[in-house]
Amino acid sequence: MGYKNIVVSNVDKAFKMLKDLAVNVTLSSVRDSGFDFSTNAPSTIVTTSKVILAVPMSKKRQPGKDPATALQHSFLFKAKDLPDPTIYDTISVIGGETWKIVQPYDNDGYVVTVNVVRNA
Amino acid sequence: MGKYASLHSDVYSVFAQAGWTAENIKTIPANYSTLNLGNEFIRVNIIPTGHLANVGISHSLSGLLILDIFVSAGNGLNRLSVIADKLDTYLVKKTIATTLGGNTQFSESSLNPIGLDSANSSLYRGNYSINFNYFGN
Repeated sequence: MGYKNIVVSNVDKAFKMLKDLAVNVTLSSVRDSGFDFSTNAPSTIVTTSKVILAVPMSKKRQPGKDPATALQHSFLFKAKDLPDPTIYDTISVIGGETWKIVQPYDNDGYVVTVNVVRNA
Repeated sequence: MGKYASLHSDVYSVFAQAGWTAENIKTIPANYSTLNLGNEFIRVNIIPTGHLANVGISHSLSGLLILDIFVSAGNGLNRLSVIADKLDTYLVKKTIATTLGGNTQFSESSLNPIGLDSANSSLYRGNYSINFNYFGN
C-alpha cells in the first residue's frame, strides 16, 4: 500500500474514532445562469445540496471587526468527500445553524478546513 | 420611486435591452456573486457623487458609472477597446428615462487599462467610466 493510501486510510479511521464529534452537515449551493437587468434578479436559479460528515472546530467572535456580531467558525472534512468547497455557498448543521462559506479554505489533499461565518 | 432607485432603473435598462444582450458579453452588477463568468465579463458600478448644484431640481444627482471590463490576460488591449466602443454606442450622450419624471443623461467616456486582476491573474481588467447627471422630480 502506498503512503497516500495509508494516510487516507488513517483519516477514515480518525473520523470513525471521533464518533459523535463528527456530524453530518448539509452543504448547499445556489447557482444562476446570469443576471437579468430587466428584472434585477438572477436569470435562473439552481440549488444543489449534499450531506457530508464534518468535524465542527472552534467558534469565535472578534471584537473590533465589522460587523461586530459576526461569528467565525470552521469545519473539517475528508478531502475525498469535499475536494472543492468553493462550489458550495453554505453549511447547515442538521437541526442547527446555517453558516456562509468564506475564503480561504485549506486542502492538504487529505483533510479540508472550510471557514464559515454568520451573524449572531 | 426614490432618486437612487430611479437612477439604477435607468442604468440597468441599458443592459436589459435586446441590443446589449445580443452583444453576448456577460454583465453583472456590483455586489453580485456568481461562478459562471468565464473569461470575459463586465461589472456595473453606479457611483452617485453628489447633488447637482445650480440646478433648480431637488432630486438630482451627479456621478460616475464605472464598468469594470474583464478580458482574457495576455491577448493585448484590442478586445478591451472593442468592448469600450460597443459601450459608447449605448451610453455616450444618451438620455435614459425609465421612471415618470426622471431621466439620466450620460456625457463622454474614458477607458483606463488597469492590469491583471488581483483575484484572478488569467483576467485583465480595464475601467470604462462615464459621467452622468440624474434629474428627478
